Amino acid sequence: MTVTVTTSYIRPTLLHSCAWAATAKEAAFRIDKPPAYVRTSRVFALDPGAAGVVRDLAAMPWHDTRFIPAFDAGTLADELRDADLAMMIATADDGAAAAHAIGHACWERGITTAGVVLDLGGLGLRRAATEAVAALRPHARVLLVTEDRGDIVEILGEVGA
Amino acid sequence: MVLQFAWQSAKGGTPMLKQEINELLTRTGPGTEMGDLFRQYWIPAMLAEELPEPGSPPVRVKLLSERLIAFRDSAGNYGLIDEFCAHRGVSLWFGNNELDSGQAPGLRCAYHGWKYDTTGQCIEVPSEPDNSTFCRKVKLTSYPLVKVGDILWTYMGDPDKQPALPEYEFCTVPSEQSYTSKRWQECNWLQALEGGIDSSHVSWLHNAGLKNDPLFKGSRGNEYNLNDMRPFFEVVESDGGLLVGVRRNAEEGHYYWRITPWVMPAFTMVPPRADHPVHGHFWVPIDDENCWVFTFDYLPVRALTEAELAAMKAGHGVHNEYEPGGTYRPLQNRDNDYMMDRDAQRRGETFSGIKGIAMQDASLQESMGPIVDRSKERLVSADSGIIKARRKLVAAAVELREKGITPPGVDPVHHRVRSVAAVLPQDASFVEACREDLVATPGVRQTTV
Repeated sequence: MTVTVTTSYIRPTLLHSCAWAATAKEAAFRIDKPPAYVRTSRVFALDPGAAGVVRDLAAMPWHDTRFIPAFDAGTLADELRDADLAMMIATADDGAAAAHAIGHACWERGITTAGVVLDLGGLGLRRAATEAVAALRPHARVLLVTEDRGDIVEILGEVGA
Repeated sequence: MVLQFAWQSAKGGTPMLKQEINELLTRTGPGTEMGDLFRQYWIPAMLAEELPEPGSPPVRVKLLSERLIAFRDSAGNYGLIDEFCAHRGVSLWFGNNELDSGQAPGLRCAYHGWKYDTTGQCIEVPSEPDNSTFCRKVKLTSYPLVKVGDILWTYMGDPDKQPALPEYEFCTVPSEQSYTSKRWQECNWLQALEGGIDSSHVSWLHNAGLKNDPLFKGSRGNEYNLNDMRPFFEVVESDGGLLVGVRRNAEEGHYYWRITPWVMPAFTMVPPRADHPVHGHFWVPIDDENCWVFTFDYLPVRALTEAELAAMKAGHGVHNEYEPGGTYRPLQNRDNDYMMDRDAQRRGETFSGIKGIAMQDASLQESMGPIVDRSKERLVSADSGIIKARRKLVAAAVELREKGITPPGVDPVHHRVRSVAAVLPQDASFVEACREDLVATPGVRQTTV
């Protein structure tokens, strides 16, 4: 079937509309009500060092976020129910099994994964080559290697946790 | 809301609201925190082609919300000084850059003839007696202006803390191996920079360019780019800023990595494609609602071909065409709706209807408004590179102000970086596997796919 499309209706309706629309004056007319945006997030600690970080995070106010300081394969399915984002936090190299289990479960459920490797020892770029990073790499759509635990707060806040 | 906690450490215990953070990051005028940060670095002020020879006409330059005049005196010295004459506040753009070999070189105000050298020192006040020394007591603010590569760089900070000159590879290779252009972008510098850090938009906004642009097409990496629209991201801190690694599926057991370095505050490089020239940008605030985008293409080990150079000058790759008149304003701009072509969009020749990679970015970034209100944006975890970059900028600005700590990216060692494109085994760390490839090494070819 041949469809004939006229293009007149899809052309800009105002000459110079981009110039007009980009002004500070016009920006004042942007709808001020924030769009609905809340993620249901789960934050998992992958090792004892990360558990302390996760407990600290849990003390802050969040929208719909649950913090799991100790990974338990038996409760993983329940923890992930209705989740949109699973963040895994590692401070050491011994969380590979937990990362694999969480990552695989998230992949099956279509849940976005993020990983943070906290470089508490000041290794800098060398930290990016450690087993903790290697363990998370296959399972974290976004992987951040950082010295700053405030990054976790910021990312969770920015993504609407 | 949790956001007020996020920046607590950066401000030494004083919580910052998101609107405050946005203000801090986007304002670069004198006395602002981010303005102080920019004034720690050598930044591109203009292209060397704008002052091609001794005695060239003076050029108005606005940087970090300061109005300046650039000129090259008859002896060939470069100067960047306060735009306005100390006498009556007249613009020195009207001045006469005197070529008379019998006189001291300098720029003479068109109103009453006060004359200045390239340091801003007044060297003649014609209304004073011949033997008067009054002129020695008059000096305009001035900043150094130094040619490195195709760019004239300036340092607008404390003269006692002036760092060594920049050593970015694109401006230290032989001139036949490098080409730089600039364009005026009509929005705040940060939303432009963030586009340079955000690698995930390439597969969408620029997908047609990967197939058609003479400076992009033909790379095996393009196929990986187009075949995997859901890349994985890895963000790692480097000495000068960040490394953002983006991986996509490649052949069995391998990933295709594109690694983008960001050197603070405003330098980004695009990972290479095949043997095409490597490109990148320097995002420089003009004022809070405009910025210069300096765009370079270079090759570490060979000269650019005539065809490559011609393509760049014609606006292909990451360059653009210009309005006539030498303003460096893009031919496609907001006053002509960027020459939106809905038919090309419908045919799939462009994704947004806008021609050219540079203007595809600029049109969208300008549409965000002069200074985007980041309290209303809704990021996703794939934006972690942008989130981390903002945090590093704020932390550096606060630490500079409160503790006097020199920020990352000042030391020229931090400038010797390269972007990388590589296919690596799935279990490889990109940082480890590409450690040497990420360093600019003279005489060594770029690592590319």
